[in-house]
Order: sequence, then C-alpha cells, then structure tokens
Amino acid sequence: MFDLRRSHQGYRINKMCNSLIVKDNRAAFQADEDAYMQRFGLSSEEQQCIRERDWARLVQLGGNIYFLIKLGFVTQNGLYRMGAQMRGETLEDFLKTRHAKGAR
Amino acid sequence: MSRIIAGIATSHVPAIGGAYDRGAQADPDWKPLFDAYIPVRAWLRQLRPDVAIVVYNDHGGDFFFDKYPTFAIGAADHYAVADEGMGIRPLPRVRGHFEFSRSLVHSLVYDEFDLTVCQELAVEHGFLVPMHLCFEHTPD
Repeated sequence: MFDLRRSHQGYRINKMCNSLIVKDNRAAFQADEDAYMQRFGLSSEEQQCIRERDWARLVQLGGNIYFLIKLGFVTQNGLYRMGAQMRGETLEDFLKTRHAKGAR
Repeated sequence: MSRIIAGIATSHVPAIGGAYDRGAQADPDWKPLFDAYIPVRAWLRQLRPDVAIVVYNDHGGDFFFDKYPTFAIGAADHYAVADEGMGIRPLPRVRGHFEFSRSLVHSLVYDEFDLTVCQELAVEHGFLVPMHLCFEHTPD
C-alpha cells in the first residue's frame, strides 16, 4: 500500500516525475537526463533506475504510479509497456492478454 | 435550496480521453464504450441539471505530496485543464459556479469535513473524462 512511509521514501523520485507536467521541463529532461536528475537530489540507485526505466524497482523505491506515468509519457512508456515489464513479458505477449490488440 | 436530481458513477480511465481527442469514437475497440454514453447524454439533456458536482481523485494533476489534502473542493468561476505530462488537452476550460461552491463549502465545514478550499484548481482526467462522456461541450 502506498502510505506516508512509502511517500516519504519515494519523495525525490515522485517530485522529479511530477516536475514533468511542465513542457519546458520535459524538454530539459529529454535534452540531458543526467543534468536534469541532478536538480532533485536523487540517490545514485534512484538515478540508475530512472535511466534504465526499471519501473518495478522504481515502485519498490517508493515511486507512485500517478507520478511514474508522467516519466512514462516523456519516455514513450505507456502503462501497457510498464505493466508488461513489471510482469517480465514483452509488450507483444502482454497485449495478447488484452481484448483490444491495438492498445498501447 | 438545491435538489439532487441524478447521480452517475462512471469510469475515468485516461485512455478514454486519448481516444476522445483522436476522434476514435467509431473505432471498433472503442465504439461500445462511447455508444453507452449516448443515452446518458440524452437523459441529462432531459433532466437539465444546473450544476454537476464531480467527485474524483486527483492523480497528481494539480496536487503533489508536498501538500496533500484528504478532501479538497473547488470554489472558482473557472477551472483550467491540467497538463498531466502529455500537454494540455484540446478542451475548453471548465466553468465553475462560485456561489454554489461557497454554499457547499459552508455546509461541509460546519459538518466538520476538513476541506482544502481551492480557488485555483487544474482539472485532469478524473474530472474531464466523465464530463466529456456525459455532456457535450462548446468552447466558452
């Protein structure tokens, strides 16, 4: 459950993700991810997970899906891609379990 | 005194908003969902409600964990459309009803709800998807 303890743990990750609601910030992130991450006091592990788009680990580190999805949007990782990775499947295999095969 | 004339519970899945913006209402995967709201809109046109109270959870559309209210309520003439990370959707800003909100705030606070009252509130898919499924809109 995402409670205050988890929110406290993942605060920096979620804060960085939330900053991506601003168009200029999305451009800055895309231009230089490492420099952008420096602004948020992220640990080296947190930065590594963001670089690797390791969604399952980001959740373990306190990332909240409402905010991780904003990082997903800016890196072309929709919820289905994130979900497939969390299940250890390819997107194509995951989509076979969906009714709408063209969903993304 | 106001009178409650209807209640509607509906999905707010964000992908519905994307499909709506792409004009995918007739797409075979989406058609059954969008078609289900045709009678809802007809029913609402018949009822002619003055005000819609939309209860939803914010998904970081406006709020962040730095300050996170348990209950928040809008009290403004207009509400902006939030940028949820993909740009601002091509929807008109939402008209509010300040006097109705003020009266609701008054009654809820006196009933001991701990409200955060928002005179600026950017609304997101939790609010917008139900609104554009249930009502036709035109730009202001």
